[in-house]
Amino acid sequence: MPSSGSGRLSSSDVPRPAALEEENAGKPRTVIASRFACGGRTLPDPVSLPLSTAEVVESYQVDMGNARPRYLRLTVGSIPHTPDLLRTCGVPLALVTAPFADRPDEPPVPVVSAEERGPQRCGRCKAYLNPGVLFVDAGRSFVCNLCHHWNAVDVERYVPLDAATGLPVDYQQRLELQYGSVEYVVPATDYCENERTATPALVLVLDARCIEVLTDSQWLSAEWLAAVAEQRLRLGFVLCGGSALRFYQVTAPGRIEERLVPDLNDAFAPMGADTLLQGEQLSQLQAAVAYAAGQTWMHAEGNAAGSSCVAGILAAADMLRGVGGGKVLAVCAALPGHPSEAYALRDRWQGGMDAGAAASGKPKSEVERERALLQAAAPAYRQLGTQLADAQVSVDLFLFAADAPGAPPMATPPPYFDVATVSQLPLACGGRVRYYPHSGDVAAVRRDLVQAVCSVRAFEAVLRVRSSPGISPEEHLGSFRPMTTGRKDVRLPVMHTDSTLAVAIAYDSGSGIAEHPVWGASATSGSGGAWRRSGLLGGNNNNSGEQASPAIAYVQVAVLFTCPTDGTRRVRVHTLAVPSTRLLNQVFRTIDASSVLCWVARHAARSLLQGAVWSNVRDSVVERCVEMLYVYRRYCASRSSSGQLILPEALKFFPLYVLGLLKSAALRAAATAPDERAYRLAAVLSGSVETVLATAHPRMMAVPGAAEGNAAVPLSRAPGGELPLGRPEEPDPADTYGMATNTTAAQRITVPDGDVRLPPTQPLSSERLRPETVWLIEDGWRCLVWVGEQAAAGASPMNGAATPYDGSFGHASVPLPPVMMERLFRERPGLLSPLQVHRHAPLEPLFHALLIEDRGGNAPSYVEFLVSVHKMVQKKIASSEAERQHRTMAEWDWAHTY
Amino acid sequence: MSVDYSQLEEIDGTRWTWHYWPSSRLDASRCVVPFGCLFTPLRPLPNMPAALPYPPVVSRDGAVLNPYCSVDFRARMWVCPFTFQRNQLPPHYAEMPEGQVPPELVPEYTVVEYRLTDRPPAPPPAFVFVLDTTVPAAQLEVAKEYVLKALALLPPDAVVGLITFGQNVHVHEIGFVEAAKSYVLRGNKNYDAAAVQTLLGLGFAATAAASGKAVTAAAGRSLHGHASGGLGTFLQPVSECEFMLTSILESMGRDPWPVAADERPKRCTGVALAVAGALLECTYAGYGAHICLLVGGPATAGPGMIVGSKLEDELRSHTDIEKDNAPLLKKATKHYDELATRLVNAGHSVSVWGCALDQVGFYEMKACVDRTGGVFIMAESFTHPMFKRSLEKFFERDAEGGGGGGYLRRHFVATVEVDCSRELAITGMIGPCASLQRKSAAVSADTEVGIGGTSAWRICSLDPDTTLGVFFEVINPHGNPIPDGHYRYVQFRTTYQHSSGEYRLRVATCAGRWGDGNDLALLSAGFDQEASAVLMARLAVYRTENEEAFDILRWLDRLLIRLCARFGEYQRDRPETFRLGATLSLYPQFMFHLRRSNLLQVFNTSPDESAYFRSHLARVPVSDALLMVQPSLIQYTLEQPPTPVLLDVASVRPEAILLLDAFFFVVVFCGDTIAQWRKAGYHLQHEFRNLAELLQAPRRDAEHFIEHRFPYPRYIETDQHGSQARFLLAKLNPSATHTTGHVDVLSGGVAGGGNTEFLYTDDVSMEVFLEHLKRAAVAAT
Repeated sequence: MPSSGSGRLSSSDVPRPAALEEENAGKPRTVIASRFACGGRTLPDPVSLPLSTAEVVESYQVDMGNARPRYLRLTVGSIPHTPDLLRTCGVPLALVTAPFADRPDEPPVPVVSAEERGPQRCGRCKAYLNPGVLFVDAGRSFVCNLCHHWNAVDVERYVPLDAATGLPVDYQQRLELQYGSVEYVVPATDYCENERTATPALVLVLDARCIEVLTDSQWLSAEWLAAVAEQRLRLGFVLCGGSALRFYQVTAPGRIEERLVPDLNDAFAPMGADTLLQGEQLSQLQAAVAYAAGQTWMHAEGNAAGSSCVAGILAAADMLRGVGGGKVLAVCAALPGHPSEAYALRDRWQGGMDAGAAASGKPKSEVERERALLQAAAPAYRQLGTQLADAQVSVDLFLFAADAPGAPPMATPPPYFDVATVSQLPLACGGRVRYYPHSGDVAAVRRDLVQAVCSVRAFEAVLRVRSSPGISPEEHLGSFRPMTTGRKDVRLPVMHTDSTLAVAIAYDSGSGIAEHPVWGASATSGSGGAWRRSGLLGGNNNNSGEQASPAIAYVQVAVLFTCPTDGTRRVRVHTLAVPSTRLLNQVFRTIDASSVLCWVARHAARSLLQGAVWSNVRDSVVERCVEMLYVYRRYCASRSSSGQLILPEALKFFPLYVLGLLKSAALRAAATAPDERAYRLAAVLSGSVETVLATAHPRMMAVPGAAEGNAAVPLSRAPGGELPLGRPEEPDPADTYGMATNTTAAQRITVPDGDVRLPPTQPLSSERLRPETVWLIEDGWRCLVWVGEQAAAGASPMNGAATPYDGSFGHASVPLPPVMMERLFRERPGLLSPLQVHRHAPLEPLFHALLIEDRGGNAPSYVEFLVSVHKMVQKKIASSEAERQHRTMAEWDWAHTY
Repeated sequence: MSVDYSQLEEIDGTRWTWHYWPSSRLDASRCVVPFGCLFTPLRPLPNMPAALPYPPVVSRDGAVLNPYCSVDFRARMWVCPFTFQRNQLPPHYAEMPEGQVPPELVPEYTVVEYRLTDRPPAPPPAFVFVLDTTVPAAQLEVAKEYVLKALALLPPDAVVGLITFGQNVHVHEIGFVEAAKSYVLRGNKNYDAAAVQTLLGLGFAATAAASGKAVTAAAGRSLHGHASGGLGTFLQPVSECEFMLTSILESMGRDPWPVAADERPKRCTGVALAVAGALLECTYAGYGAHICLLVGGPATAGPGMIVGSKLEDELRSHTDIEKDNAPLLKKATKHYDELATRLVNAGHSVSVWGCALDQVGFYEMKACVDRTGGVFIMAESFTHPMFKRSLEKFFERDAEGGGGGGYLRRHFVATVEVDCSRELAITGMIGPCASLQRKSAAVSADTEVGIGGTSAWRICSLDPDTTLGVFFEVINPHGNPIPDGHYRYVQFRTTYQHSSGEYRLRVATCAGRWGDGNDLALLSAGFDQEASAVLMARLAVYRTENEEAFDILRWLDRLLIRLCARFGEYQRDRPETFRLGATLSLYPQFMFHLRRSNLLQVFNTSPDESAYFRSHLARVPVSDALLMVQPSLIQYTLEQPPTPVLLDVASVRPEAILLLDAFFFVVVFCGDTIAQWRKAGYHLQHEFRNLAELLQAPRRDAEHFIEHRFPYPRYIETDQHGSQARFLLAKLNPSATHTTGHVDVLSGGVAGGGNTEFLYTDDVSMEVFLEHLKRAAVAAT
């Protein structure tokens, strides 16, 4: 546990993820096996993930009865048994789920065919069968682990139990009883909201000014259309001009029909779903683009104020109505909306400036103005999103400043998009927003268009979280459409590999997590002790004379969706079993800092977009961090270290993340372009855990081979090989299961090689910026290449303006290894093309803003922040001590709690 | 005394109901049949000078110099026969050599035409085709083919546009060659002209139209070099856009929207028509333009829809309309009425080519067609000859004009002004026209018949057959005798845009005699019973359509009785003494058949059919209208040459062939015996050549009838007792019914009557009708 006295803190002592990564550099891939055995008779392993994010990303995850963390993770690995305990420890209880975060190198989620009768489900809570279900009464009943309902098994589903194991005899065939994640193919008749005529489709809505995105026919056919074809999607295309929407149809080679819809106030699709392109026909898009790009109106209409993209989106939705919904990719070059509306929103931008200046005689404080601009100006966009979601349409908005192609990036301020307002549209219907402020960064738009297509995994999805009795899902945060019926389902018309939802979990009552009726009863009677694994709890604190709680908490995320490739209706079920605990220490030991950060950041983003007071949100983030550390310091740490800041192992990087979050464009106090800030907030609200983490803690790495200083950095694949299950330092728990049927102690698995391993990340401070080095830094959106004076002295024309990496985006003066960039772009959808930054160049502040460990402006450095956190913790301790003295022990007995 | 009034019609294009008018208002009112005429403004007259190349001499009140004026060349004065005002002649008239008079003063030339060369010529006429694409593919192919055919028939400089519709309206840009480009407008939304102007990016002409100013002919005859978006992009001369239009049409498929099995296709006819109207309004206001709507089913979407898209929703019938059980009717009618007003203001007309077994909504659209001078064409499908031949006929060109094939027979934006002597007044007009709301001294102050209250009417589109029914009344008070030698004068001044682009003015001046109101012999001698029947038919139809809850048959009966009571010769209360003069003798028959005709009877007739029949009645000349009222029946036998026979069931004979011409359809009806001969193939044998000849003769004659008729009639060949025979039998006077003879159940014929035909009907026969009439007439007080 790294800790040192506050007075003697130096930058080398503070916990840094970089150090951890350097340690892991040469090691093989970590295997994360999420273990749980069937029947709910054993306790699952408390999930505790590696602290290094890179390690989690690289890891090879194995589903052994519990959902992989990729799909479903909780903020804590052991759930506090009672709400009191949760309240005490100050950790938010939430789950973060990305149900389709499949990895190509991992075994896929097993598919169970239930097309005839549908999957077996609990009669009361409708939960799906999972390893936690207990079969009783010789197989004639099963006890649902998510509501404890005693279900009778249908005659035709009846399977006798194996006397030895107490499991159904066909256990080996029952994948849903073996794995934490399964995918059922379900009968379309029972699992469909509306009668469907066709599989959903894709429509590209393109602002005419962004036509250059498509004019590269090489990219169009080889990458984008290939991606569409590979996903077997049907494609529609709407071109939004200033005065009309344009639709194209190629009736014969060389014969193009163009249809214009000039009524932008009441847009609709003039063509039905049967004109959507598919397979071979996709190449017709190229002909249409070539034709459209050659038209003179393109130039005439190029200067229109707004963009008719909203009309285009409506028309696209109209087109998709015939096929039961789908995805709309809308690329806008200006404020999307009807021109008059666009002017109104633009006025908001200018009005904010002028009115502020006029009222006070001096410009209104930038931050104040920003706060106003961060709230959605018009509810229309959210309403529209809701309508679209109800029509099973999801929108991805690509806001691309294409106005001045060729101009150096950052030379002119990007056009005002009012991201805060327009992002409401995609966020309300399960879509994403992407923002490209640099004109000319066509490459980034293209990458993301491909990604948006490739990553589609589900249409017409409905997601439902179920949980053990005693706890229930509460607030959902992310990009989705809540169901109106009062149920806790959420609708996501389209889901991607990176669609992520965060769901808070609350206790139903003070008594906490309910005991299992069979399991719990047998525990108290003492007869069933054979399958109980005693002494697991507490791990290092065996001092517990208190009764060890055997309760297991379950959360099940079920997504009903339409598979895009074959059109079948499916349900993907992820079930996670977590042991509950009454020990504060155990909670702290298994906290997942990334999930906590994700929840905290999303919460903050949501508050800000709803117009919360800026400083309050920032303070509450810090407070959340301080509270946790205070509780740990107060109740878990040894008394001897009273003067030190003590960080629990699982939370040791958390203060750094919080500092990073506060310094990020999303939350920083310094003035930031409202669009940028709104975009980052929207990205935090809807992005994956990794995105949120990248926002809080950018990655800086050496560019291999770019300069002498970087020469030694290797770029290799993460080695796999034969590895034992589980983390090596853990004892193999298989024998304690009492049923060594499917897991043997000697089980080893073959782990394939991982992805190209990125160079280890560096501490985010300027200490290593030496003239002969080249560094790349990215925070999930911006990607900057810092080139020292000597590294690029010969090659770079030190013109101040950054030179980007991509060929179409200028010239690179330093070589960036394509393998590395490819991996980076794959991992970070929405990442802009790299900008090159030189020392003392105008763009350098952008770079320094990302070095969060440094002091910058009024923001503290990492060390300073730790010191201030420590002080706050101390203050809290002092005040609670004082308080404590006021109270009698009888009133305030903490010891009772643990 | 017998006058062939059709000869008189050749002189000035008018058929007057009465030729001698009683000089007092009181006597006139006792004549029952209104005073008026059927006036065919552009009728080609043999006795008419070539169009005069100079402007007409116009009096201060607008009257034009004519042969009935007294002219003093020396004083350079002329007296207007209507107001008796003295007007100056232009200087050059005085210099005219002795004995030579200008054509407009030649007594024979009561109709002269002037070329208004001082007005810059109008642009060539525009035709916008509005095509329904929801019809079955085979039908659509034919419809497209015929649009192309129409293009070929049009003169090369005529301007055309194309709008297609189904669920939405597609306005095709035909001035663009790189791709088939169309603007799509919602089918369920009502766009006004301003909206269409903005949405289609139309140019300058629209502003002029919107401000209500007359469009200066800035557009000129060349449509290029103007910034006007609409003219270049959506409307183009045939010669320039033919290729593009052809390729658009060829590649155009059906409306792609899926149609459920239990639904009708979405068809936004009302909106398509409104968009076409607005497009022309923005680009062609004030100039001749015609919208050709080719539609293959009922409007089921948007304003103007007449039925829901579910097949279980039924189209409104006459009964529904009567019982106010047609929920969409009012809204649709209102939509089309408003559109009609806009069209009239802009001078544009609409023709509807409804080609469907179902109704397409003529009933609702009738304002658009009837008020703008358009036509309805009704056919079962686009493949039916009724559609094909009518379309060819519609775009026919005359022999006039140099170069390629003459000018279109159809002319545009006509204004008909009527002037008359002070003793009479104009009460109104019934025809394909709209009021221009122009009051003059000649307008009747208190009576209004048809479209009245004005002395000028607009006919947006007219051909040489377009005929107007004009109504007058005598306002001369009773105690104010008119001196001998005084005539009544009526002048019709028709200004129109000739299809060549030239503006022309045709002036027809009619003079008539006054008579003593009590000289019944004189009055009835001047009675044109055909014209009267037709004018009465127009009036009856107009009143049926425009007056609510009105028992038109009783009204007609009452008038007929009054007429017979006044002009018949009889002894009071002795029906057997009743006689009618020769000039009136056929009139009761006409009335009898009018009562039975589809013009007034709605039983077994859909609202669309009624609208169709009535619309045509209001535009055809007397001879055609008379066929509608009382079809002609000709008998062909081996023994006799073809002879007209009574329109009576008794005329049906087994050994005769009948040819019925009912204007909308022509039936060749073979008697039983002849049919059997034919079936036996006798006519193929050399020795029975006369039979072959007999079979051919009615066909040849029918062809002759059909050839020049517009709309092209349905041609039916049937045998006695054939299923199609009903077309003939329905028109016949039921003198023999199942109640008059014994029905021989076994043979199906009437026992005792041999082979005579009879009808199952409860309608009264003409005999009974006439009996009742006589009784009522002689009993009248």
